[in-house]
Amino acid sequence: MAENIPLTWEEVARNHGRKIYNYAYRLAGNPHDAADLVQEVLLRVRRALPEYQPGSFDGWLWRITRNAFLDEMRRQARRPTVALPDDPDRFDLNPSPSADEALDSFRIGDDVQKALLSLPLEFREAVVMCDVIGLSYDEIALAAEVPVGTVRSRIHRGRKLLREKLV
Amino acid sequence: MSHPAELLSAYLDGEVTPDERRRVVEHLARCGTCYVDLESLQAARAALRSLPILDLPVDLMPRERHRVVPLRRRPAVWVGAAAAAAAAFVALATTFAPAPGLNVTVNDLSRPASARASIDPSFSSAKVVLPPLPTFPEAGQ
Repeated sequence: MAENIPLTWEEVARNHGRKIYNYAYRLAGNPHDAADLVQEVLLRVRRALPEYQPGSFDGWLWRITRNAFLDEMRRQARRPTVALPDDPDRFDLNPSPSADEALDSFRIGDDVQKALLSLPLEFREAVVMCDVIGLSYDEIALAAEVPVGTVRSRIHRGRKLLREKLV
Repeated sequence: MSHPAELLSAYLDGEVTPDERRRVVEHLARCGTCYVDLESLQAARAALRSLPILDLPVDLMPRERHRVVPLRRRPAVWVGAAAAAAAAFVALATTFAPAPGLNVTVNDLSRPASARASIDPSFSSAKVVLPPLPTFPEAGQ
């Protein structure tokens, strides 16, 4: 049966952008990184679409998404944020948060999101792909380039850890 | 008794083979520990599924595709203009055509006279004598 795949990156954005954003948001924990990741993924999709070989479109798309996320994590690890020295003459040490920041912290402050962020990345990613995005174990295995048995194990351990942190 | 621990999540998700499913069901019927684990995993899954699905920010949505006009020469226009100019030139040349036999000096700007002279020694670079225009009978004759 012919696979029904989006033909343009705009269609990918319309049909999958929301899922990619939610994946990124739940893994990164903030809307800014999530938005950056969506842009990066769409850019990569735009470049790679002409060479896309019919197969599992979801597996292809999530592999791109996952690689973009991991690249961003590596980039941030190479360029850690260094706090500016305190300068009482220049900075307000207790600035009041903006409306957006307050909203962000409210969202991130969600217990489940907090617990999620405390999980090791491979477990966090597995449970987000399964329970937030709704991918099958086969699709997760394809995206993460690991055997299905590994996916089973990661989801199981991720849920178990999450439950412990929520109790 | 071995506990099918890692099968429990897969069982919840329907990601087990029929044999594995039978094994889990039989085990759960007689193992309270695994039953409690299963409930715990189910609660964790429910918590994750309860996370709100966020909308993609509007500025990340692709805009309606605008028709892009490529920046390139439009030869058809120039060809048309050149043809019109050529036609105008021909009309003027015809109108102000010299009388037959009149010598007209024309400077050949296309290439140095010496160059042409080297190809055709008989060529005179100073003047070009146009051949006489053919005469046409008057209308009605």
